[in-house]
Amino acid sequence: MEPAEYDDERDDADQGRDGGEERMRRPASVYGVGTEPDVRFSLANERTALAWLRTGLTLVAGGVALTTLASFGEGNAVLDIIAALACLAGGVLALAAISGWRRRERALRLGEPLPAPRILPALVATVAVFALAMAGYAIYQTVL
Amino acid sequence: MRPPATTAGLEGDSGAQPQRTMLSWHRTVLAVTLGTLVISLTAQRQEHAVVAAVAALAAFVLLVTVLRSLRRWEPHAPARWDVLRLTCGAVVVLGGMGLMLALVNLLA
Repeated sequence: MEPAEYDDERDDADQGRDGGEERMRRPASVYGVGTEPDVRFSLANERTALAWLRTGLTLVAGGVALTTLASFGEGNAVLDIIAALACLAGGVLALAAISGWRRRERALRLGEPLPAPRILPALVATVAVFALAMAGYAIYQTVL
Repeated sequence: MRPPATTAGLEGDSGAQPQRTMLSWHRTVLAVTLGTLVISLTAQRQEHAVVAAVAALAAFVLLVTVLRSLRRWEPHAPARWDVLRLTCGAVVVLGGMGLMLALVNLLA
């Protein structure tokens, strides 16, 4: 992996905008270590984090949709509970997305192997549990 | 005449990485905005006028803020972290609002 080089002209432009002081890139815990990796890897890491964010958002949207469905009738407490858990899982996934971005960017800068996605098994298990709960609820409603 | 500025590491990039990343940002911002509006409509339907108004206002503020920040987006720009954090925070807040709506519906 070849370290990327900064473009001199752009640095000049940045210095002009910021009054001669180069702005510190944040977070320092990530950009304060290692060397600049190939920018394509950083961009791919950013897109991965955004994809995780959208996955979390999908869970939240699914939960809100379930809440709306539950409000059409009475006695749909199961739907509300599943909706609440889906919204909670979506929020947790968003936090995991940003945490994963940090870990991967640090690994890229330090030239270490990329860490395994910790949240992926949890996400698969969560979606499977939600699917089973919804299937069980649908069967229960059909039998009644 | 100065040659056009280039970003080191992207020479001969056949994958159009900056464009793909920017499109990914736009998809995410659009999804967050739509999600916020869905929560606003749901809250309105459940007669939580304040939550609906706050969500709708938040959607507008978020859209304007992120789109303004993305104008300064570059592969090495310091603003990328701020926008990522803001978007993550928006999804967490949306999750909290959805959780609240579900709990209110459950307890009603």
